[in-house]
Amino acid sequence: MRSRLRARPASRLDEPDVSAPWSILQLADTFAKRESSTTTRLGMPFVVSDIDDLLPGTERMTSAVVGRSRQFWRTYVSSTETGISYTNAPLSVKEEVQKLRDDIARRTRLTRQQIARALGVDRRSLSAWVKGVATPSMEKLERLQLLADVVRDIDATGPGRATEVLLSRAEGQDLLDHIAAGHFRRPSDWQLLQGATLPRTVVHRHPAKRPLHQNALEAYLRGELHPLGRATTIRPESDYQQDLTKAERIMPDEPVRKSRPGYR
Amino acid sequence: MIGPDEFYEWHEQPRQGDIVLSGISRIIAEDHRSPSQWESLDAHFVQIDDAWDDGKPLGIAAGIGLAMVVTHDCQLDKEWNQRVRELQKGGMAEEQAGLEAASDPTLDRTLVVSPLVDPDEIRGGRGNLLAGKVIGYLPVPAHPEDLVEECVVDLTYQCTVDRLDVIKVASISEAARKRLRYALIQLDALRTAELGFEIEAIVGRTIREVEIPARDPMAIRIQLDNGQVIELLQQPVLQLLFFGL
Repeated sequence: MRSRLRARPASRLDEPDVSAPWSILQLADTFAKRESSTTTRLGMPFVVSDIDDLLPGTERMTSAVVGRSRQFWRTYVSSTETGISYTNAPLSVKEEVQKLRDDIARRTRLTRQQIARALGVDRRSLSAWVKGVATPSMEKLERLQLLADVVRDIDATGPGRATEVLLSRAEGQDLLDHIAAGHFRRPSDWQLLQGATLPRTVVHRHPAKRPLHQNALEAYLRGELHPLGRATTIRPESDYQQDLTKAERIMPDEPVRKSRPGYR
Repeated sequence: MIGPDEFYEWHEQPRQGDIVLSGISRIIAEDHRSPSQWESLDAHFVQIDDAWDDGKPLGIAAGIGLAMVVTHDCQLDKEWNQRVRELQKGGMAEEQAGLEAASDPTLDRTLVVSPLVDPDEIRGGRGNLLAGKVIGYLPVPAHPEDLVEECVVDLTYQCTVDRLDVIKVASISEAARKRLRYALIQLDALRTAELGFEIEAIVGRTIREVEIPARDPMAIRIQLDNGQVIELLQQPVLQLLFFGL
């Protein structure tokens, strides 16, 4: 029996179809050759003899996207061996781009031009990806995914805030430009750019006895001591250069007679 | 330990050996453990959650304390001198170049300091510590104006601080600075200070003089009491000892 498999990159925006600690690649309409008699029923394990056999079927994908699919195939194979099931049909790259773009647009009031700006491309490129005329690079696809994740993360803190937050300026540019510039390591980084600080804990311990610096601290508070500051140096660099002439005078370089017994 | 009169000597400009009032910090584990000698320095604990991106926090212990500047003098002026040289190459007069470089607050900003600690809190014995017999610690006599109590510099704790954020309390004499440099060398590079005695024991003679030829500073000539000379190729650390002292 021959089956066909199609793959698409997993999306963190996907609604989870399975109760698993990770999101698995969804498979359907398989077209890869399977060389095992293992059952094909959902939720049951199956075996693929060579993972590369699956990849030629990933039509219209760039090599980068194929590479990404390869990873998810492995994830899938691993997960299905534990009996994880899947239900949704996979998406092609252009469908994936459209889904992410539309999801962002649905959750925000960002224009397509603004979404494209966050990816570092113009609106026509984004449109070409959706139409399947062009294929995004791996980096652009990931950035689109990141933007969608950022939108979802902002939404989680207060629905309807995403547009306002993404267009707010931090360090001279809005958050869309920060995403385009690769300043985001994770979706929650928008909080840092909004002036939030990393969660921290501070604990103070009172010294058991009078600290050594107490007298000096009191003298400083009385104005008797002053900061070191940047007092202009009076030591020119030449002071630190080795004066060989002087060293020669101190230690005359006389011929040495190697007279240690057994040395010659 | 040398007395306060020999140890302290006021110098206006920043120098190696200066005693300063400074913030001091170190990275700590989640259990906030402080060795006893540093408990008084670890007055505040700050934990940044998820600093490692995998849920692992970053812990910092910090406090105010007295510390000794261990950065060498030439390092204190390095960027200033480089800037002056660049400006002079560009045609600026030396005096003007010096003023220009001095007005740049970004130059030579960092110092390395080691905290002053109570010898009673260190294993090794107060007597030995104050006598300078314990590697890693430099004895400090009490300051004539009570700004510093009798204590030791803990050279095993070194911390980089911003020079704009330290208060100068006292400076020390050349004799005291030599002791500091020797203590630093002993701690970081030279644990075999008895090497000379070992050589004497091996050759059965007394070393009368040790020379380092100016034309070949990597060589050491050991002159024995019978006139014989042993020539050794020294390791770089010994050269440091020579130029540092």
